[in-house]
Amino acid sequence: MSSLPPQASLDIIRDMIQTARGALKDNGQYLLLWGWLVLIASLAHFVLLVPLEIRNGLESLPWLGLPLIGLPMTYRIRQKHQQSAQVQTHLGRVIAQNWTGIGVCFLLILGVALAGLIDFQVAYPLFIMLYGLGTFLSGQIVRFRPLMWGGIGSWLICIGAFFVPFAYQLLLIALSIVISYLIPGYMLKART
Amino acid sequence: MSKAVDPVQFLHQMLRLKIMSLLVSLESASFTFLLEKTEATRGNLSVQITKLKEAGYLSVEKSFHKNYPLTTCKITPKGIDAFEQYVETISAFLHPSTKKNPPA
Repeated sequence: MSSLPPQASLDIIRDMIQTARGALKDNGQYLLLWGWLVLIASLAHFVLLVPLEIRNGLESLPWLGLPLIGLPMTYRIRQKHQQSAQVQTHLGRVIAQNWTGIGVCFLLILGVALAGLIDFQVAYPLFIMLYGLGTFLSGQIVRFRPLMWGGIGSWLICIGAFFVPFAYQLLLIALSIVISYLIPGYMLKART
Repeated sequence: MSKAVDPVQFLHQMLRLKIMSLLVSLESASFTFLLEKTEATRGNLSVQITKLKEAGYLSVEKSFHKNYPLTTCKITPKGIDAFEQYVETISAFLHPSTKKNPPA
């Protein structure tokens, strides 16, 4: 072999792969955006439904904020990130696909519930389960334990949610989103 | 068109190896990112990227970001094969006992 000793070659490879791994940065922007939207929507729905006793369908309106505010803002953050990124990672793409898949599952469950095939009493715990799945997998990929614990916490809340009346499921959604999105989201933000 | 080269000999050069090791773990990286992480000079990095591209190991895309030129590099499947072959050869050289024996 030439002047580069084989051990030095392997050291270079190891160092560079380590450097590339550090390129995956998540500052929790998406978690905070969707976390706050879901928290506000679920609490607003609860307030309209229980203390204000609105039951004509208008009580569900806060959820419209998710697609109306969440989707354009997600698109904007993504565009900004892609333009400024010096590097694209494989794991970043896996995380994006993970959330896209979960988004599709949300829409499927929502569609089935709106069609009246399942009750919203069943749909909401399934939403909590999906919040947990998304954050657990993201936590595994970026090796960030608070996200994984948040995901596990959401699954436990999901079990409980099957046994409470619909109105209180809204409070459990709020709790689930605080532990799986907002707390890890702010921790990620503080870390970067 | 890519030139036929011996992957092990070709990659056994510090800067080319650094570039390939970074790109094998990434989807794509900009010239600036590679410049920063490899700590090479602009000219040397540019020359080695061109050589890796000519060997068919990298694809290079030139675009503009905020009116500034942006060069993005991506490893090709041929580059991944070459890199794997390189790592296997170096590992076998360092640890001859772990070299795979052909089935009897």
